[in-house]
Formats: sequence, structure tokens, C-alpha cells
Amino acid sequence: MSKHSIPQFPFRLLRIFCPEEIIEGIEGDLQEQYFADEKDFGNAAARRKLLWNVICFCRPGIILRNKLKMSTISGGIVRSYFTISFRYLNKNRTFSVINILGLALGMAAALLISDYVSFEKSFDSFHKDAANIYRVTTAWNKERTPNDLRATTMPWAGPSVKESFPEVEDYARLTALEVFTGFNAVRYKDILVNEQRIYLADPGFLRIFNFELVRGNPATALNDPTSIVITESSARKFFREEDPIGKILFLDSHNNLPESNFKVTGVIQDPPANSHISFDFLMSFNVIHKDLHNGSTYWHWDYTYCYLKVRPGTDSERLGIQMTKLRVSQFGKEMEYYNDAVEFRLQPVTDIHLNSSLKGEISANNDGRAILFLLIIGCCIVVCAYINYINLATVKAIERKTEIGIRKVVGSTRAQLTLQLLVESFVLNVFALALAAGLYLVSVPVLETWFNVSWPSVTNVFLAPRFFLVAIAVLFAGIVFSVLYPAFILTAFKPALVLKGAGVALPSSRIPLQKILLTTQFVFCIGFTVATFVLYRQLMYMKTFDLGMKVGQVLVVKGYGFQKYKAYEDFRAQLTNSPRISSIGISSVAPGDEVINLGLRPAVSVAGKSTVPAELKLATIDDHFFETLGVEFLAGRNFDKASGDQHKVIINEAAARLFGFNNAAEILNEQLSGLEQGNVEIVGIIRDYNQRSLKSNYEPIVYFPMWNLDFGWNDRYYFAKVQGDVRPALAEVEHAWKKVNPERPFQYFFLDKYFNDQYKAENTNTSLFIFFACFAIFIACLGLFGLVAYTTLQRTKEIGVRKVLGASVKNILALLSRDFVVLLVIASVVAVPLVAAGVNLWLEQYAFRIDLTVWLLAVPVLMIFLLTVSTVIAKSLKVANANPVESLRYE
Amino acid sequence: MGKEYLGEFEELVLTMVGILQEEAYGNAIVTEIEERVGRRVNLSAVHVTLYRLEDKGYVKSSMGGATNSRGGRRKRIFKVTNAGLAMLRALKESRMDMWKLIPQLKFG
Repeated sequence: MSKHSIPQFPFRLLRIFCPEEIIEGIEGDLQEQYFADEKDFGNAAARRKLLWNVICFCRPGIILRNKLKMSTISGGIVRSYFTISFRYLNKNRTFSVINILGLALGMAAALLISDYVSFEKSFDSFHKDAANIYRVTTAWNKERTPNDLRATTMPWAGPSVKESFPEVEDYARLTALEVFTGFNAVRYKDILVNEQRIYLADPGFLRIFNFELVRGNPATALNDPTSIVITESSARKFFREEDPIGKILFLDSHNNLPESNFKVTGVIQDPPANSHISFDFLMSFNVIHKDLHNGSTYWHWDYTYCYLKVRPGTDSERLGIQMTKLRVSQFGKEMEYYNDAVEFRLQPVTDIHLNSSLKGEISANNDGRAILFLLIIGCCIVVCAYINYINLATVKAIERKTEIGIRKVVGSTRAQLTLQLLVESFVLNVFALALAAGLYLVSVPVLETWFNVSWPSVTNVFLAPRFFLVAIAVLFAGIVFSVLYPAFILTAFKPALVLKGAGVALPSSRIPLQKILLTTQFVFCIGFTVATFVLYRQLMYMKTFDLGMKVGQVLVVKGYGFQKYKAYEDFRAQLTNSPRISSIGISSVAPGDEVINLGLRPAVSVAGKSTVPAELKLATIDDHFFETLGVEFLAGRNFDKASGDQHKVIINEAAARLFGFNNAAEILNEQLSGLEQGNVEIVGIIRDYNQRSLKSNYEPIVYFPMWNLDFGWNDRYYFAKVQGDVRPALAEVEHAWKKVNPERPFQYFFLDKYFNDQYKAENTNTSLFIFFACFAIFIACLGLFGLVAYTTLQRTKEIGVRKVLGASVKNILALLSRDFVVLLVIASVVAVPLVAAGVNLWLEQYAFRIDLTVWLLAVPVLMIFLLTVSTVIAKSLKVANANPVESLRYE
Repeated sequence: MGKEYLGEFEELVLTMVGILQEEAYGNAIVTEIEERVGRRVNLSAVHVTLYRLEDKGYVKSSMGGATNSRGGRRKRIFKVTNAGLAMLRALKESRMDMWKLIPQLKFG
């Protein structure tokens, strides 16, 4: 065997970790050993031993040799650094407090935001198969109604799709019971609770989603048509200590379902707060009449949510297209007849909470953009806090020039000085972090009451390993990066000069880093001020917006499904003479709710003009509804109960516009034909009022008299306009209700609150945004003022010289302000377009919004300009006015 | 740091360096230990110990002659310093002192 056949791989391995200084001796020894082994044990064994020996060398004694200067930076020195740090912080208390407090505030804000954001982002991710669960959404007739995207779909999308596509592993449909029975109440013995969140669900629901069944068998709990699964909290509410399994609950189905008595077959965990589906009761989907949920029949009623679990790696877009094709191949003829081409799309279940605002969402979703904006603010706050820290530390470094000089003379290396700064920074950051944790814990309950949100659980977030990793990474990055610049300045001192008493000039004017930091602060300042200003204007605009109706002092009582019109009339009769109630009306829909579409989407024509009503909506009301809400008539008359008003309708302005009439009076008394309800005459046109939040535009609505057209499953809302004090009026209304409907619980709300509840999520988002933006502005300003004060101080001597040479106070002020103004201009040029784009994105979601005018952008920018310049002037006025002798003596 | 402490293996390696004189390098020490004490030790352990001894100032090293069997690489030759020698001597003496305290010629 040749001597040159020694394997090279172990040596290459060795070179990876072995320090250069000692490798030669080791390699030689290894090779010698190898040849000795080869002689003794043979080639193969020698090779094995060689590799093993190399692996044995991979130990700290070798790897770290000469990497850490153990001899120069020993434990003793580091301990001394800690001592010095504490002494230093203690000596400069004001500086330490400002610095620690600033950092701690920034960190606390970042913690709070990261809590909120990670909670919002965690929605539905607790399901084991979250990545493979999709919701089927429906786009109705895209050419005609481009925005008719719905969260719901036809019951067909479950079973038929699973049958036809092998990649679909399971399906679960979920339908609100309300769809079939209207508002409902659940009764057990003498406990009667109104309007629970009751859903009909396929057995697959328990398989796809990770809602754990505490009692009962998940495989069979939802199979039987009469079975009902209740949540733990509902179980406590109805059965207290009793065993719920096997108990019978009564739900009046008004013969729309074959059953009214349901047997409890399971108890399920309460859905967690970060689930977009929340429910109190689950009933079996099988209770629905076979014709209505059979996947094989043509049925275009999209009353159900449908979730599919697909095989991992399935192309969801393709599957959606294939589903659309499948439906055409199965029901093409019928679809053409009814002209309702639908397209299916699959939406990842984890996308629903933040990235979906379709019609008929199961629960109010949040807006992903708002969360993104919050996240951006959080990052900016942290960056701002650290920029402040760097600036302050750099400024402070100047004051320590003597200490540094002496350390250098005594023999400190740059590395040691940097280590000292790192230790100080570490101590300060750890203090700040501890304070931040305290601030965080204290501010959570405060924010909860201010913004009326429940902040995601503290323990949850603190225990999340990912959160810890990020926090530690940010902390260490902060420590290291905040030290780099001061370290550069400090260690660049020439000790001899410093000790002789020469001033240490910060290279502030030459090194652009400080300018970059300052400009960044300006950008944040300007950006957040503009954003806050615009948001605030929009909020004010919405607050003062004329809704076209008067929602104040309106008490709304919820009726129930299949309540007879007679019940309303009796109720009304009880209250007509009351001095506290000025008007009572009824409607199938309350302002704030979505109005249902007309069942079919036929082409309608008015006065011979044919239109395809994209969004024609239908509501049923009585002759007092508009009066109760204070809605104005533009033309025509109200309904008249006495004459019956058969085949008469009232429409709103938006509907008139849809039919092509801009002048309301022209459409009066015209025939509206093509509706399912037959030809009707338009007897009145009302002024548009905001049926829904200012996010949606006016929708075309056709109003029918309720006494003529009454769908049992429709909702019923009784409206009472209250005069004066609300409390006695409420008692009176309740009394009237109890008299007419002794069997039904009395449920009411106030219309203004109900209507404003639509903005709940946005209001929370917006106020959080404004709160944290103000916070960011505050932190950024804090740093700005510090820096302005500092740079002015730096130029004390220069000012003195200039004065001696004949500069006036005005000249000097102009000179000092100029630098900042230049940076401000640069910052504005960067910030304004960015923030304008961001704010525009946010404004776009409102149908009714303020225009983004120039002055909306300019005013906040000018404010920042004024603030900065006045700070500069205030700070430098003293120096500029002082006797130059004083300033020349400075230092 | 107080009084320097020498571990058992460190002492063994230090002694071997003293014995081998000009030929005290990693491999030779491994062989020497095996021959004299009958103990198989790993090359890396010897190296690490040598470096540690060097840090403590008991040995010093220099690069010595290259041989063909080493692929032309030089040896790192270790030499006992005065401090090392003093340490060894002190160890030996304290051991001898203690040895004297043990009653000799004990039977049964």
C-alpha cells in the first residue's frame, strides 16, 4: 500500500474547526499515528482510527483556542465592567432614567403590539389540519355582479365534491339554524334562552376541526337528526350540575324542520377565542329536509358554509375551477334557465379572519391591513427607541473621554473598550426589559378598558417559544447594534489629545450615520403624524356623517321567526297611546344588518327600460317604519294599511338610480316588472339612508308592505321611538311584549349602539393605531429634542467665534436651523408619498370617506417643521444671545 | 487564582514531556504513556492537555523537524519550563513527605 494513499477527508474536516496556529503539529501527529496504525492494524482500521481521532479533536480546548483571549478578558475584568456599569448608571441618574425609560416604553409597546398581532394572526391555526382546510366561497354571476362574493355556498358543494374528487378527503357544512326558523329560543324545563348561536353541522365537522368533544362519541354525535351537541358553557347554563347527555332540549322549528325536540349527544369544548367559528349548539345537518341538502339535486340556494379538507399538496385554485366545471356539467341546463352562473373558490381557513370580507361572513372579521399597519408601527417604535438610545449613548460617550483616554493609556485594547460598552449596554437593556415587562403587565388591563377589547392572554404569549426567541433576538440585536456606533466614536479617540484636554468632536457633520438616524426619526415623525391626522379626520367625518335616518332614542325589540303580523299589531295597539313612545314600526331588517337579496335574479324593467338589477334587495316594512326612523320621502307616499296597497312598493334613491332615473319623481307610479312577486307599482321613493356601515355604499332596496308579503323565516324587528327618559319607556315596551308574547323572552337593543357596533373592530383597530402612533411620535420627538439640544451644544464654540466675527443672533439662528430644515425636507419627500399610499389603502375600504387633499398632508408636516425649528431656536437662543466670551470658554 | 492546581493527567503528560526532552511531541507522548504506564490515551486528549499546560506556563512549545512519515509537517516540540519543573518537583516532594508519614514495614 502506497504511503500516499492517506485519506484526505479527515484532514479537510480538521481544517474546518482547528485554529491555524496549532494545526501543523496536530496534522503531523495524526499522519504519523495513521502510518503506525496502518502497520499494526491494517489500512481499513487505520482509516477508521484516523477519522475517530479527528473527531476527538473537535473539542472546546482545540476549537476555541486563540479565539477568545482568555488571558486578557478574564472573568475578573468582566466583573469589573459590571461594577463600573452600575456605578456609571448610578452616577448619571437622569441620563440612565431617560434612557432606560425610553427603551422600556418602546419595548413594552412592541410587546403589546406583538401580542395583539400574533393573536390576530393565530386565528384558526389551532386546527391540526389547518393548512389543508378550505372554505368554499361563491362568486355569483361574475359579469353581472362583479362584487357578489359570498362566504356561503350551496349544500351541493359538500357531498358531491367529495364524491367526485379523490383529493377531497372530508367535508363539513355549517348552517345557522336561523336560516330555517328565524330567531329561535332553546328551552329546557323552565330555562328559556333566546337566540343562541345554533348551527347545523355535518358529522365531518368534528373530524375536520379540532373542537374536542368532552363527552359523547365524535363519530356518531352528529349523525342522528335529533341529536344536538352543546358547548361546556351552555351545558352549565342549562343543566348546572346535572349530566347533560341524553337530556332533551326543545327548539320550536315551526314545522320547517321535522323535529322540535333534540337529544344531547355530546358536550364540546367552548370554541377558543381565536376561532372564526363560534357556536353554542351544534345540531345534525341531517335534520334538514333531504331535498334541501341532497348534493345531487339542483339547488341554488347558498345557505351553508362549506369546509373541505383536502389531501396535502392539492392545488386549491385548480380544485375550485374543477368544482365550477362539475356543477356546469351536472346542472348546466338549469343554470342557464335561471341565469345564475356561479364560480367556486377555495379559501384557506387560516385566511378567513384577516383576509376575507365577503358577504355573509359567519362572524365579523378583522382587517389584515390594519394588523399590518400595527405591526409596522411596532417595528418603528422599537427602531425609534434604539435610535434614541444610540444618540444618547454617543453623546454621553463624549463626556467619558477622560475615562476612555486613561483606559487606553493604561493599555486597554479596542476590543476591551467595546466589551465594556457591551456590558454597559447589556445592563441597561436588561433593566429596560425588566421595566418593560412590568409596564406591559400594568398596561394590559388599562388598554383593555380604554379600547374595550380583551387583550390576548398574557400567559399564552409569554409561553410561546417563538415569541421568546424573537424577544431574545431583538434584545441581543439591540444590545449589539446600539453599541457599534458609540464604540466606533469612543475607540477612535487619540488618548494623548484627549488627556491634554482637547475637545472630542463627534464626527456628526461628516459621518452621515447620524444624519441618517436623524432623518429616519423625522420620517417616522412625519409619517405617523400624517397618518394619525388623516385617520382622525376620517373618524370625525364618520361621527358627524348624516346617515339619512335618526338612530338615537330608538328601542328595537327582536321578534322571532314565524311570528304573526297580528302579534305586531297587538303589540302596537298596546303602545300607541303611550306618551313615552312617539312612533312604532316594524321591519324585516334592522339598520346595520345586511338586507337579503331578492330570491331570484331576474331582469326587471321599469317603464319599458330593462335593467339587470345587480343587487336589488328586499325588505318588508309597515307604514310606520320610515316615520319611526325619520327617513324622508323624496316623492310619492307612504304605504297605506287601510287600502292594503296590494302590488305596491316603495324604493330608495339607489334603486331609482339603478333603474336609470336620477330624478326620483320621474319613476313615481311606474310599473316595476319581472320580480318574483309579480308586477308592482312604485308608489314612493325615499331618500337613501345608510342601511349598513359607511364602508358600504347605498344599496338599492325595494320595500314591500309586510302585511302583504311575509316570509316566516324572515327576521322581525319592532322599532319604538322613545320620547324623553328611556327607562320607563323600556319597562312599558317590555310589559306590552309580555302581554302579547308571554311565551317568548323579551330581547331588545338600542339602534344607535347596534348600528355603531358595526365599527367595533375598526374602531378598536383605529384607536389602537392612533394610540401607538402617538406613542411612536412621542418617542421619536423625545429623541429629536435630545439630539437638537445636543448638536446645538456641540456648536457652542463655533457660535462664539461667529459672534466675535460679527454674526447677528438672527444669522446664527438661521444657520443652526438650516441643517435641520434640509433633513426635514428630505424626510418629508420620503415620508409623505409612503404615508399617502398607506392611508389611501386604508381609506379605500370606506364608501364614504374624506378626500386626501394636499392640506391634509401638509398641515401635519408643517406642524413638525414648526416644532423642530422652534426647538432649535429655543435651544440655541440662549447660546446665541450669550456673551461670546462665555461660549468661547466652553469646554 | 490562588495556588495552581495540576490534574492527574496533566501531571502525567508534564512528566512525559520532561522524560522525552527533545522528542516531546504529541505522538511520542501517546506512545510513551502507553509503554511506561500501559494506558491507552487519545491523541486529542494529549494535545489539549499540552496546550492547557502551555497556558499555565509549565511547558513552552516550538516547531521542530519535519519527517517523511509526517507528510513534511513539522512537529510541535514541547519543553518543560522552569515553572513546570518546579511544579513537578514540588509535587514529588510533597508526595515524598506524605509517604514518610505512612508507617513502614507493616505486616499482616
